Amino acid sequence: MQKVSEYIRIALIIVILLILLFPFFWIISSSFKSFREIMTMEPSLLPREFTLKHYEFIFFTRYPSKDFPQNVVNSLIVGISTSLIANFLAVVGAYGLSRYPFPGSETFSRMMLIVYVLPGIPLLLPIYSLLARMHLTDNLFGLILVYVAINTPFVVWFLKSFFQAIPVELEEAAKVDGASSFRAFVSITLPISLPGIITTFMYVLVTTWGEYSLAQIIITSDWKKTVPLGLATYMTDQYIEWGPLLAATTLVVIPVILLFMPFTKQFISGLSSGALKD
Amino acid sequence: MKKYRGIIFIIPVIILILFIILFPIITMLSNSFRNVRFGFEKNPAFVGLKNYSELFNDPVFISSIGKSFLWTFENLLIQLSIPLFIALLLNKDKKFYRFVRSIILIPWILPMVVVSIVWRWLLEPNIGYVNYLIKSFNLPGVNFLGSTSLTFHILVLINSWHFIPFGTILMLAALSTIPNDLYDAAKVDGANSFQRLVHITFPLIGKIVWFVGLLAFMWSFNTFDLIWLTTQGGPANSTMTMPTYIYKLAFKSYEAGKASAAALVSTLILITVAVIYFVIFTPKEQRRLKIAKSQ
Repeated sequence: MQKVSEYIRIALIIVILLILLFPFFWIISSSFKSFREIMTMEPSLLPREFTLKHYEFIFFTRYPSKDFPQNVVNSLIVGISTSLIANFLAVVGAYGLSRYPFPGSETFSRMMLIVYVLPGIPLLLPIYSLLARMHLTDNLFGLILVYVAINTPFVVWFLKSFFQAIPVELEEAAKVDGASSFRAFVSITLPISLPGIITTFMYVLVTTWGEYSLAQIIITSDWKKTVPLGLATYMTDQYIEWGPLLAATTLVVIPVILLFMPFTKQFISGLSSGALKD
Repeated sequence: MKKYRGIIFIIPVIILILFIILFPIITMLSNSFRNVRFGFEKNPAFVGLKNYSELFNDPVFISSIGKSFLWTFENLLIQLSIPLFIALLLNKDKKFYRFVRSIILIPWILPMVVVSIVWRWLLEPNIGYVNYLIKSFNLPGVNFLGSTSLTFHILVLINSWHFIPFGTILMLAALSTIPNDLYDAAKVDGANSFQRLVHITFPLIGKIVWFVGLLAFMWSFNTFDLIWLTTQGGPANSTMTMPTYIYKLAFKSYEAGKASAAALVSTLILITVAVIYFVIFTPKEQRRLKIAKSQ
C-alpha cells in the first residue's frame, strides 16, 4: 500500500515535470533543426537533420539592428551592475533597520514589499518622463538606475529579517575585543548572512536579465539593446525568424540556468529563512 | 536624536523610492488633469476632468477593469493551489525529490520574452506541436491564441506556468520548517493523512501562503509583457487588461493625459486591494504580536 502510493506520487511528479519542462526542451531541440523542419506541419521531438546554421547566423551575421553578441554584453553590464548596486544599498539599509530600529522602522520594512510590487506599466510613463528630464533615456545607466530603484526595496525587506535572525551578541563580543561596529558587522554578520545575499544577488540578476517592459521603452538605440529586446527584434508583426530566434533563446537561457543551478540549494534555503521570518 | 540614527542607513533607499514611486505618482496625478500627448511637455494646459470623463466613457476601459479583476482572480486561484499541491508531492527528503526540486525552477528563470515566444509557437494553429498532438488523435485543431473566448484563459495558464515553480519552491521552504515530530505525534494519536494536512500543515504555512498570494496578486494585476508579446490585447480586445490598455494609450496612440488618468485609477485599485489584503489576511499570530507590542 505504501509502495503503491509512492508510485502514484512519482508518476504525478513526472507528469508535472513534463508539462513544466517540455517547452524548454522544445526550444533547445528545435534550435538545431533546419528551417524547413522548423516550419513543418509534422514536427518531431528531435531534429531529423542536425544543423548549427542558426547559431552561426546569430554570431557571424551581425548588423546594427540585429547584433546578438552586443545584446548579451549590454545585458551582462546592466544585470551585474544592478545586482551589485542594489545589494550594496540594501545591505546598508537592512543593517540600519535591524541594528538601529527607530519609531516606524517596522512599518517601513513591511512597506518595502508593497513598494517592490507596485511599479508596473501604470508608472512606466511618468518614470520615463522623469528619466527624460534627467537626460537618461536611451542610456544603459538610466536603465540600471530604474532597475536598482525597483529591486532595492525587495532586497532590504529580505535581508532585514536575515540580519535580525543573527544574534547581536556576536557583534557585541567582537566590539568588546576592540573592533568597530563596522568591522564587527563585516567580519561576523556579513559572512553568516552570505546565503541570503547570494539569494538576493541571483534573484535580482535573473529578473533584470529577462526584463522586457521597462527596457523596451527606455532603450531605443539598436546597439544599446539588452537581450530581451534583441530577441524581440526577431519577431515582427508580419514575420518571425524562428531559426535565429530559437538559437539566441537557447544561448540566453543556458548560461542563466548553469549559473543558477549550483546555487539552487542556497537559493531555496535563503528564501525560506528570509521570507519566513518576520 | 540617537533614536533616529537608523534613518541615515536607509536614506539611499528612501531616495530611490521617491524616484520610482512618489515622483511618478505626483507626475501622473498632475498629467491626468492636463492636456498632454507625450507626457513630458512643458507647462501643458489644465483641462480639469476632461481626461477622466473621456476615460469613463470608453467601453474598452470599463471592460478592461473587469478583465483585470478576472485575470487576477483566475491567476491567483491557480497560483496558490497548484504550487501547494506540487510542494506537498515533493516534500520528501530522498534523492529523486531533491533532484526534481533543483530543476523545477527552470520555467521561472526563463525571461518572459522567451516564455511568450515558445508558447506562441507551441500553440500555433498550423505548425505548433500542441495542435500536432491534438490532430494526431483525429481531433480538429484549436486556434488557442486567436479566439475571443479561449485566449484569455490560455494566457492565464501560460502566466501561471511561469510562476508555479517559484511558488512551489516558496511553499516547499515553508513545509520544510514543520518538524517531523509533529506528524509522528499526530500519527500516534490516530490522525489520518488528511487530518494531519488540515490541522498541522495548513496552520503552520499560513505566512508563506500569504506571501505567495501577495506576490501572485500584485504580479498578475500588473502582467503586461506576456499579453503584449502574444496578443497585444486582442483578438477584439478580449485580453485587454488595464496595463495593456494603459500601455497602448501612452506609447501607441500618444494620449498621455488619458493614460495617466487610467494609470491613476489602476494604481489606486492596486494600493487599495493591497492594503485590504495586509489588514485582513496578515496571519493571525503576527497581528496578535503586533497588538501586544503596541500595548
